[in-house]
Amino acid sequence: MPEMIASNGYYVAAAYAVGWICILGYLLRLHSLLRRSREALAHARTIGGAP
Amino acid sequence: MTAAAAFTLEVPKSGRWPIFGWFAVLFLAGAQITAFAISPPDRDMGDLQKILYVHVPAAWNMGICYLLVAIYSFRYLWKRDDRDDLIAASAAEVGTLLNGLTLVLGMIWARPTWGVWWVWDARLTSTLIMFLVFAGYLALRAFVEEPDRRALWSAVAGIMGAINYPIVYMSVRWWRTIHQVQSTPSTLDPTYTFSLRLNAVAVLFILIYFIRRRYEAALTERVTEQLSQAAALGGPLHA
Repeated sequence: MPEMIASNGYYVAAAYAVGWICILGYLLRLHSLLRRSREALAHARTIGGAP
Repeated sequence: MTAAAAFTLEVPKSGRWPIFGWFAVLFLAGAQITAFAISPPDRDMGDLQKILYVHVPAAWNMGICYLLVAIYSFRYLWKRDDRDDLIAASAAEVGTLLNGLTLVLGMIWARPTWGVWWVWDARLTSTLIMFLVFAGYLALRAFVEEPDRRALWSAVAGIMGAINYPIVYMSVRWWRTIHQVQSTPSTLDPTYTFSLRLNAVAVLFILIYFIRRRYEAALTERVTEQLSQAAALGGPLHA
């Protein structure tokens, strides 16, 4: 098996790039969701007259 | 949902939870340094073995997410507390992300080692099925607007989906597959075990941080929804 394996650094780089893109992408999505949900809550309070 | 139910939830506070984000950064940095600078290339796989430092922790932590989905879905069916539904949904979303990551990283590893991107073996197929089930779970939540019905259907779907995880885990033992059986510390070099565990802890901190933040966003949305309903019904607003 060892001789069949092309130990290619591109695959490792691609795997880590995919991992980081997923983590950072989801982090950005979370921050955007949190910001929008807080803005919506503030708006609902303004409309409803809640403190 | 009645106007009276509008006062059951409070707006969440971040509190000390962001510290898990910093733990994640710290452990990720340590794990990457260990994986690339300390851990030597594998005799057979060479540097491709380093892909397993992210593939395996993603798969393990995906299991934790789906376990949380099952626990909080059961709790919702038992207590009918909206917060349990939202924790289950948050865990399902993060679990689906890790599930997708597990599949993609596995494919990137499989191409140079097995010679193919994908084979329909038991482990890969059952993991794909679980991904599709939870993608369906998230779609269900997006399409059902009535909160109680959405929570009830999601709890049932979440439990059904989580049942798949033991099948995925045992698939390499129950069926003859190209995917290898689980490694144990006795079958791995201690350097590899250390790197793997460090990465697993880093992904665990990411998981805790992500689920908590997603829960905060979902709970804030839910409180907003309740406020709007109460306002429409002319009730008082206290959130």
